[in-house]
Amino acid sequence: MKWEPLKKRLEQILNADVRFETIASQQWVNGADSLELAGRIHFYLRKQNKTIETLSVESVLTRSERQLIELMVRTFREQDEWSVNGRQAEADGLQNIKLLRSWIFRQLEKGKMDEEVPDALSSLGALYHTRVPILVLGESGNGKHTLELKRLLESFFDTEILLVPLLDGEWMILAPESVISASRADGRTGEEESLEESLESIGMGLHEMLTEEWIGECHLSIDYPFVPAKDLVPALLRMRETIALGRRFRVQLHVHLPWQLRLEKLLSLLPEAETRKFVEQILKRMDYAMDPETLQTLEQFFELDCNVSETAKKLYIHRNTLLYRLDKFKQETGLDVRTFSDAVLVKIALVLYKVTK
Amino acid sequence: MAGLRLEHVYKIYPGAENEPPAVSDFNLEIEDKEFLVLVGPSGCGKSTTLRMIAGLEEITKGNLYIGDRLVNDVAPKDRDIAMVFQSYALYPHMNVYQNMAFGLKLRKFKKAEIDKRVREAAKILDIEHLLDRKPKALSGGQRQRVALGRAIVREPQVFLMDEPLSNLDAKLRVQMRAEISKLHKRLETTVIYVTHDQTEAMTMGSRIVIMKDGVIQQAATPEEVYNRPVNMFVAGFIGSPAMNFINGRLEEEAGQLHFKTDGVDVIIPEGKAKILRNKGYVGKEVVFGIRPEDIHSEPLFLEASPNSKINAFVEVAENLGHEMFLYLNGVGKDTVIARVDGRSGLKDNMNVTLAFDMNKCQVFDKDTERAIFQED
Ligand SMILES: Nc1ncnc2c1ncn2[C@@H]1O[C@H](COP(=O)(O)OP(=O)(O)O)[C@@H](O)[C@H]1O
Ligand SMILES: [Mg+2]
Repeated sequence: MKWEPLKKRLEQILNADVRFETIASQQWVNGADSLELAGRIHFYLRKQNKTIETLSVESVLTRSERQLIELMVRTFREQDEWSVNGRQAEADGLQNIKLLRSWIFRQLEKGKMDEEVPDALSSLGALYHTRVPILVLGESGNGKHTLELKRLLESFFDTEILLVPLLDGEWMILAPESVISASRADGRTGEEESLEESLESIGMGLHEMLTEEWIGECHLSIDYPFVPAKDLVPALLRMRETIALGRRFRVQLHVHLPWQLRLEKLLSLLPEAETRKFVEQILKRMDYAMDPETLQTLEQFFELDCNVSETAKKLYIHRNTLLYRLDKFKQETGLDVRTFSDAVLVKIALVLYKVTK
Repeated sequence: MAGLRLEHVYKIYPGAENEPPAVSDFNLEIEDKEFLVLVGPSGCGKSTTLRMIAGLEEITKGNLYIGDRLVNDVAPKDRDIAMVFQSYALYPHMNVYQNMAFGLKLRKFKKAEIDKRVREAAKILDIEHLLDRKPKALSGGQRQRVALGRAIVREPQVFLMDEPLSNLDAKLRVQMRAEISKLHKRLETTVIYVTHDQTEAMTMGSRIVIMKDGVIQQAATPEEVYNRPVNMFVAGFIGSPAMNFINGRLEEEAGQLHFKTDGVDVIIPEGKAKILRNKGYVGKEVVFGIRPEDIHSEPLFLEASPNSKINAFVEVAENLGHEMFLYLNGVGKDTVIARVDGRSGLKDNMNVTLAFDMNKCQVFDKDTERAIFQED
């Protein structure tokens, strides 16, 4: 019992007999912090049905001792009530979240994608407003608490969010649309930012925060704003797919964006044997062509729109060195990545190479 | 403040069990307040090492201590470290002040303390005038400073930085380089800094760890790795333009040890010759290493070095004003680069006589590629 330590300390300080007692509530003076009854002074702890629980001491206290104890017990009580009520409120919210979670799981089991979230769960009014969906995938089994994460996220976004725990280590965040405008508005109008850019910067910022302040490394996907009541399950599946694609095709990235994985998504649908054949055909002498240096050079080259000077700059090599590497690649594979059609083939082969390896 | 200790640390990524480890037997003690730089070519395991120190990647095998605490299983946020990564991201919806204050707010620091730290960091980084701006309204360099500021206010035991300057243009990079060095002196904390740029490593590090294929090649001061590289990889990686490697043979003639190949016949100084003789390299094929700046054209030097003169053909002379790079033919099989005074008057297509500074030369075992003088 939480009052126990306090009782012990009082006994030591007062060198007197201190007890827990229960008295009928009609004996109490409403609102009083303490009361003298039958040779003992009772301090109000809490009301329980029709009784009042008290802490009692022999009536040998001076006035100021009595006032000090009153003050102490009241402070203690207020703190305690506050936290109990607070927790209760959060637990209530959580109950709904749990229902929503089981509903999602049922839908997934049934393979139903198009059902609307039932009205019964609409006390989560949030579901009828446009939301930005984010899926976070941390390491499983780290025993992280949803409430802890929710508080962290709300203090990060400085607004209420809906957090749905899914599988072990997996959470869906539904953030209000205002997080997008908040990441844009500044009074200083620069070039207009696209929605994708805004979402990306939110995803990157959130990932950085979660890694540094919470679970450590995690994977994250962020998708276009939507109305959860209608589309919750499809959105979840899309984000799961995006993370899976990102982890498969871009092992070193942790923020996965659907609009950056379109080609990967398409290619992931190919049968494995076909894929392997294609890669082998294109990158004929793979062992020669695909040393880390060549790989990095080509990736950078495509990233920078096949711009030779930019790529050389980014790789800290001389323009001629880059041209030499591209020529070498051409000699070995017969593909000139400075032409568009060969570049397309090599780009696709590169995407596939990493997953067929 | 704290040092770190990595004991036989390995990283094998899941799914890559059949490949060599991304990091292999990484064994190193890092002292308190040290500025340690991890350097090496792309893919050599620098980031992986740093991410294990940060707690972002699990350590497959081995131990990591920060101070005296074994932290293998401690979450990143509880390691008392701060990180600034290449792909650092600011919090886009917060202004600069809030970006820096957020971590402290979470840790329940008092408002006044947060304010003090944020303003102090902003002053150090010269971003006081930007405190109310959102990241979107900042230049690349300014964003980089905010990312640093976010780390600084935490007053961590250890700073981890992974190519933090690689997204900046060349001029800004040089400037920030100097500022980070200054910052390190001022904050007096341990810094572990990752870069693939050897110039950055040489100018910033109090100690440099050179990695290749997940393995530490050498860990020493910049002077040491430059003057006493342990193998050809380090010798070739540190210094720009890179050290020249010339294949040839060591031959004893009239009591003197010569290094000989096409167009080269130079005498190895006695101290070095003794080591080579003792280790049985007489009559053997070796790789001779000489840095571009240790090939001289000044008449005085040539006069004083009758035993190390070479004749060569200048294919190209690149004059940068204060210095000149000569691309030479006729010295061994490959092109040899010399770095001489910009006023030497040498030009393309000239035949020249130059001389090696033999006290600076290295000799490598042809098979193991190890530097023979540095072996014990
Ligand atoms: N998340 C990952 N999964 C699998 N392999 C990885 C991952 N991250 C890095 N690697 C591999 O580990 C090696 C070292 O990579 P990294 O530490 O990033 O090198 P560096 O930072 O020196 O460029 C590379 O071969 C890289 O492909
Ligand atoms: Mg790296």
